Amino acid sequence: MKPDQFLPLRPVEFQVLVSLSQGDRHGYAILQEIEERGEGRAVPGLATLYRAIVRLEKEALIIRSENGATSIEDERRRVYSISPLGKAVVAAEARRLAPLVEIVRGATT
Amino acid sequence: MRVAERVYRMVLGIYPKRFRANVGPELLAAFRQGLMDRESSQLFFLAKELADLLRNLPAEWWGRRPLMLRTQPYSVQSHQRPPRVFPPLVSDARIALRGFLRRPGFASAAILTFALGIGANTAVFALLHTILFDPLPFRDVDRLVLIEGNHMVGHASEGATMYPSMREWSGLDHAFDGISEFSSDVRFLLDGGDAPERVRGAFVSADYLDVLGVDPILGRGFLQEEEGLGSPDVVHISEGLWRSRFGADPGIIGYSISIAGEPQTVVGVLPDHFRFPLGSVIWIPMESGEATLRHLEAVGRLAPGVSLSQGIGSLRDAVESLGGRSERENIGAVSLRDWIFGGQKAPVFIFYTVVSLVLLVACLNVASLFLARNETRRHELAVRASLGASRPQLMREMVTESLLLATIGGGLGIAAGWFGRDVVLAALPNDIPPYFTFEIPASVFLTLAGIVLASGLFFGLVPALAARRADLQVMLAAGTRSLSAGKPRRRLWSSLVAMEIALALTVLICANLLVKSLVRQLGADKGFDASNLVTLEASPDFWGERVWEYYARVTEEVSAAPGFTEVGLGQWLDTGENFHWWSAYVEELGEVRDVRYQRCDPGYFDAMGIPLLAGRNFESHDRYDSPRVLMVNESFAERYWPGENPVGKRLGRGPAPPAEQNWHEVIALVADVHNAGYGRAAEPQIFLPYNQSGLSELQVLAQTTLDAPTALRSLRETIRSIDPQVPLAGLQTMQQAIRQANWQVPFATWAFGLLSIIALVLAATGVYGLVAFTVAQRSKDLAIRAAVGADSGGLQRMVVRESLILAAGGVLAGVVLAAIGMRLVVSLLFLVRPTDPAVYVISAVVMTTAVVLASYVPARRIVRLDPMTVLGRE
Repeated sequence: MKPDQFLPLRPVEFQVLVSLSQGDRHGYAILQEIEERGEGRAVPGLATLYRAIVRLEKEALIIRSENGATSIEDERRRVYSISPLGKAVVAAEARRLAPLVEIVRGATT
Repeated sequence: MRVAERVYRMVLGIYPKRFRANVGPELLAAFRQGLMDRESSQLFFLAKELADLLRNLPAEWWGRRPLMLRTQPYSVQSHQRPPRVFPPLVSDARIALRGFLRRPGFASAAILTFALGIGANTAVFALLHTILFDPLPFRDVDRLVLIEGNHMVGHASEGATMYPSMREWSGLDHAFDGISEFSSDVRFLLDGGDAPERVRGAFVSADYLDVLGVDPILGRGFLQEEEGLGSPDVVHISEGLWRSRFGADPGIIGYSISIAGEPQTVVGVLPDHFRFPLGSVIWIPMESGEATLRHLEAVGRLAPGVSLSQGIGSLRDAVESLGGRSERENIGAVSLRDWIFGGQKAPVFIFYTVVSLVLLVACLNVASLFLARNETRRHELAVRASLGASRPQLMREMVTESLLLATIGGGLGIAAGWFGRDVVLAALPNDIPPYFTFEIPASVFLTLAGIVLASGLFFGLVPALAARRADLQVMLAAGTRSLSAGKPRRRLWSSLVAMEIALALTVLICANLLVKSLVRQLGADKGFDASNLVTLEASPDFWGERVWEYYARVTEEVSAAPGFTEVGLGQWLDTGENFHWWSAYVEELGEVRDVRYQRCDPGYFDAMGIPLLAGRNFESHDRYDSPRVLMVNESFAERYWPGENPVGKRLGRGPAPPAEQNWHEVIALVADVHNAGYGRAAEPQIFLPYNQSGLSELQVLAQTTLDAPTALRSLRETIRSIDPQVPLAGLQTMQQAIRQANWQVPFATWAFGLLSIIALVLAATGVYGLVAFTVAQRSKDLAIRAAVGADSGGLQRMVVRESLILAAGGVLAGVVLAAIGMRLVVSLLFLVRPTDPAVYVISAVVMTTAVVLASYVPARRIVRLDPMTVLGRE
């Protein structure tokens, strides 16, 4: 499937992909990263985040690795990483948004 | 925090299984971590995450098609929000909100009622319920039993046989899943820091956490090989100790702490609500479980399906097979719950009654409010129906409206209950009794939410169903503001409000009586003078002569310090019932009797203000190497030697035959203190000189002429200067000690006070609503009267007078109700008559004042009525 077919991404999906494109993370770390990057703004709730993760995983944009998890208690050590397709999609979404951002910037400065 | 997690988990439970199985545990772990990261704003975090969870719920259930699997390229148009699941809900809610803003009086009265009556009341109830009845933090607590040697029967043969550790008893396997022995109320000296400290702890068998069903918050439980002689020195500490003494250091596991100079390795930290047994904060594996039945202490977990009496039976069989046939009856077991809360059942009954009454008042109030609401809205509904609004639509609106009110009100109430929890905690003495957990279980929260929603639905649906179409048409035709409209309903309403007043007054009287009874009990004659006493526990870590020298210096130096008049030493403080028993062998009976005892020094009696009635005081020559002596109180003398002079008689200790007895000479008779609980009849007690036993933990008691803070400081400094190495604890005035030991009194005062305020406010709201409605309904009537010359003050008085008549009816009914009701619970009242006139008068006056105030406010509107405007509206 072509990356363009996934566009536009929902904001939370975009945020998860951006976060994972910087390195592998478990769910809560993704949230923390979004929180830091956005200085607390537009932070999704946990349920929203995990639903997005489930969707992205189903679409094979991200990959879950059990990373040696042996019990339920270890579940949170499940680590997600971005797939090559995911990388392509996040890049395509960024390309799609860039001109829009430019227009708004031009209008407000 | 655990509450928050449970609530979250509970809501997550309504998600599809597919989702939960996939990421549920992860999501929970993330939530837990999020909660931990936000120490100050946990409530906000919970609210935000719950909202998020609920918002995503419909899509997860019904948005089954994979949202991103597209068969054709996505266009901007197709990427709109998914269709709303309940589109009309939002618009209905908007209509309802607009309605509230138009009539803020009704909305705020309804919200207040929901908040106070249903939310706060239920939350307070839930909280107190948790504290009073469900505070045992053990898994399957109903299967836990306390096993103890029953020392109240069979004195003669008792204490003879040593039994091996219960692990070696045979035949218990089928009755018990596990039995763990312990030895409670052991004092451990924590040193190795700046301030040595004596803390309460227990020796326990290695599996005690398994038997009780408690998990450490850090580290692990004890291992089997850590029990017994020569095993590694390991220790569990409580969360509280871990925080206060070790700065909540997460690296505490494996760290060695010093207990009485011996290094012990910390292997676990136990949650703070676990303080079993008897407020322990430190636990060390036992060296030996061998004990006589008298000293046997164990907790057992009954096997599923095994009853308490079957359990006791198997314990007795085991004793018998161990050769203790005559001691068969000396072992027993009680359910752990009864053992801990045995004495608290009585006030609890009143408590349930009061809470139910308040709920009833709230329901009456809500019913009357919605009755009024329905009345005023008939016209509006009729108009809208005739303009084409369908009946389902109108019904939906009304239900939405009441649900909205219930949700806002209930939410506020539950929030108030939640924060009220902190108020309770703050109101409680610092020395919170052991075993108490302060968390509201998720089930209670769900019940609360259920009650709130159900009541909203009920009160919305009933009037909506009642408003039939035909009815609407009639209403429309008739107009609403005719003079006669709503009269029968107003009568119904008046009687609802009168009932409210009656019930609220009953609550007020009930609560007042109980609180008065509790306060009287605490203030009752104690047999000693607590007013100017300050106390401190000094527990040196040395023995023998040195201890006596030390304590002699303590009394000497404190007496010499300015502002202290009498100084004494006692083994424990008389802060209520004295639970310390001594087996006195009474020669005349040829039997042992368990009597209460105190060990003390000669200064104790003057410091406490307990008169010596005959004989001599202890003296410095009454030592461990001199003949044993003791004193008895009046009750002892009256019971065992009636009409005789007890001085010069003798008492033995334990069941040994007279020839082998260790005799104690009675050297004095002292006045009674109320050792069976304040206000209760005194029971037999003896006093022993502390230096005829190896005591090294004594309470210093000093009568002072100084103010409390100065006296406390001076007492501590004086004693500290004698030997800075001696651990000091419990610096407080005797009054404080008594208050702490009797924490239920302030606690009950608080709870019942709050409940009566809720009832009072609810009744006042009811009156307010009724009067406001009456004024509005009768505005035409009143305007005509004003137009023909009646002065507005007179009209106002008329309205207030009507509500006074209502109040009189309600108060009368309430007084009768309370007088009958309190007769049923007369046995629970203490030093107060169930018809105590002061209580009734004060409660009635308070209630009447509230009613007058509540009716005066809306009645004032009459003054502002302009006849022309009112009449022109028609």
